[in-house]
Amino acid sequence: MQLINRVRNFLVDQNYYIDIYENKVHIFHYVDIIKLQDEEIVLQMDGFQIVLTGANFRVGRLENREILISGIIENLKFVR
Amino acid sequence: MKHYIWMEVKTTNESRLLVKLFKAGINVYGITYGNGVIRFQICVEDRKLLKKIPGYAFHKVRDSGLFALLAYFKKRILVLLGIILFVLFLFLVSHVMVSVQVIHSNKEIRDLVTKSLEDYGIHRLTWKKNFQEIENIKQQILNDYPNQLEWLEIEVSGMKYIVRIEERIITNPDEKKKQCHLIATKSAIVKKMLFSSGEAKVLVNDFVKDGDILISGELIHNEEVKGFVCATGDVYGEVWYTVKVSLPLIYEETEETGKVRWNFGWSKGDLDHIVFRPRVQSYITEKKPLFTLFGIQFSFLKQKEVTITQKTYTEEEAINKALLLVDEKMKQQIDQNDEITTKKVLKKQLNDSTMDIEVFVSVVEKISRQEEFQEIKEEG
Repeated sequence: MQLINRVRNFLVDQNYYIDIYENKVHIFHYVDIIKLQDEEIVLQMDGFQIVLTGANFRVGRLENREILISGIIENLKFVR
Repeated sequence: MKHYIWMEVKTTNESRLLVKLFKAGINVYGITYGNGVIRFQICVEDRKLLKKIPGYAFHKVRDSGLFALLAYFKKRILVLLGIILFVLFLFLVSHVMVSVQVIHSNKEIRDLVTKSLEDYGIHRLTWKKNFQEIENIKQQILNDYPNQLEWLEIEVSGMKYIVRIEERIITNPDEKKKQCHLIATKSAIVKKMLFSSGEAKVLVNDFVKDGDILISGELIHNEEVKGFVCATGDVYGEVWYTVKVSLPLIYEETEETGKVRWNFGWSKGDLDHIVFRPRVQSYITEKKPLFTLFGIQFSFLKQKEVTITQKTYTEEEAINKALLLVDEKMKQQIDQNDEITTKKVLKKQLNDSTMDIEVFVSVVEKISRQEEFQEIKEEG
């Protein structure tokens, strides 16, 4: 799946992309972690911020440009 | 292949630790959270970067993936080596032959066979030969010594070959018999006579009885016995038999469905065992031997599903089948060169589930044997 996403990203040339599942969110190409808490996560993207609110947030995977967050997602907001 | 390791650290604020790991440029995978403990996977090269994060006591739990398996075996290297050596030892024990025992009372024959076996690679401390190789060697030795050996058997008994021999003793019966007739062994009509010495006393199509002289050893000229020979040859005659056969009218016909299931089994002697329950109801089995250990043969079993249907012979089919059975029955009694010439159904009786049939069979077969006689000397 990751390989397919990378190939797709290479072909489509996106700056970022986000996969949202029932209780997981996978964000690619983030720049920095502004805030990392159980109820709120703020990620700095290239030129804007993504604000995730909900409950029981846990980071399952943390890489240089990729993060997998699990928990109850109530709201996902783009702040420009 | 990248080498990953599982790390563990105690912390009260997991989020802060993760941010610090991110800032240190460490990729973290498979994060799990416990009671004040966080466990994660990192690349082994990133371990030195952990030292740059102060205030945390990281410690390695174990390796990950294939490296964990390697580490597991590394810890138990002696046990593993022991198992491998034990399996190798068992393999050697079951495949290396430590002695060859040739059984015969004649030392010359024993030496002859022992040398021949060595030439064909059967001697002590050699690799065990398979069934086909042993069969070939047996045949080759018998072909090499046709005048010395009658029969030879190579038996594999554990780590030992046991070779049994039957010596060939050639005797020339013609040398012993100086004067002999060819006489009839049974009542028959003479059909063919092939003889190299002696004087014919019967003609083709003559009826002869058991004990009649067919080819005489007395050479007669002008009603006087001029000399004696041992009559040599073969006389063939038509002999009659009555054969009774009982045939079941209901028979089972099996047909393969094409469905094949594999199983695993072992056999010791005539007893076969299967490991898994057969997944088809009715089947025929093809055995593919894998290896033999301590006299137990392990095999793959190819179970071909079959359907079995019960059928009943019609009267005509039953008669044809019965005649084939008569052929088989007769062939057990007569020689290979003998020929069945006529078959006629004398009597047939249909019962509930069987048919009894009586068949008249005529066979052209050898009816002669040599018999010595004494010369009657006239007194005076």
